Amino acid sequence: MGLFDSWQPEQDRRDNLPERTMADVLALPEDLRPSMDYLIEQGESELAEVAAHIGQDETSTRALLTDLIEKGFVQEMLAGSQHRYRVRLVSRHRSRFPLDL
Amino acid sequence: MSTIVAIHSYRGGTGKSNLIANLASSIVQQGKRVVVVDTDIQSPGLHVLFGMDPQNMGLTLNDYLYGRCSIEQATYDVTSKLGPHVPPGGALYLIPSSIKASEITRVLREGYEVNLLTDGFRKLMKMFRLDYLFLDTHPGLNEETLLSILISDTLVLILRPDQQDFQGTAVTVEVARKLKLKRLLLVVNKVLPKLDFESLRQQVQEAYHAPVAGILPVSEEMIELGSAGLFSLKYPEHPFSQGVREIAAQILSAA
Repeated sequence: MGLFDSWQPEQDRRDNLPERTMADVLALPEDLRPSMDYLIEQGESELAEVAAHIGQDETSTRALLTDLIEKGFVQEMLAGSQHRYRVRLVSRHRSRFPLDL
Repeated sequence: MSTIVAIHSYRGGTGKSNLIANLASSIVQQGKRVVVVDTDIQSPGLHVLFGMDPQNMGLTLNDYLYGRCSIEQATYDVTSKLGPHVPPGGALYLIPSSIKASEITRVLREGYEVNLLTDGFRKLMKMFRLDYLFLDTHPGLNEETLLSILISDTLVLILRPDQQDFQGTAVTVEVARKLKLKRLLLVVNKVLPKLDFESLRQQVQEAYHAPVAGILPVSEEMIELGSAGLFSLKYPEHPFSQGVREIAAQILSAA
């Protein structure tokens, strides 16, 4: 088994998470809203910045952000050695509205 | 630091685009730097108020959202539309949305990445050293307007003295508060001059537990103008224009 094979199922699962919209944000549990709202306003942030904004320690904040990642609202990126978190929202779900009217 | 002001209404025809254009104009006349973005991608119209020909519009917000240009390439300096007396430092820019059917249907079908829009706003605020970013929104509750409400520092909700508007505004206020709205101002537009404006103001404030920034009269002159230009420039002493200046003063005082 290759080095990254064990990661692939998790990566595939995350790649297939549903698209999220603002209506989904409204339906989020209250404890996830402050970090989500902050990330929407900032676009992307580091863990320490999110923690400072919501007034929690980094361990608790990482758990909240992981929950948001699992639900498909946020994606985690590596910028150099820093982990950054970026919102993953679309304006609306794709529809069957015809391109040619 | 820039202030984001979203203008919204539950129903169409409340005078949202006219108000935002005249409000932005009034704020620029105080020497401020303002960008107005027509985020009403489904039914754009702000470009009309600033005399832009849709056939020769060039790049629009749609082009930016689909990666065809930078946000600044879709930004037009319309300060000259405000006449010769804009104070030093004052500037008005417009980002129009496309009125081409193919562009509108593409957005309806595909949507766009929210990050692109908010990244664009942040870039604008920095690049143009903005005092204010005004967002004209599509009427009614939908995913795009929820975003405008969430990111705005001030939400201006417009309604007419009409039962459908009253009921719909109550729903919008409820949703806006769930989005942890920072500041809400109400504007009642198209009010018959014979009504008691102060009594109406009290009623609306009590109904929604939010301040009424202005009560604006319906006027034949506005209907005659038909969005062909900025009303407050053509009729600066009209009660509507005076009302717009009062609303502008409240927005300025909160910054």
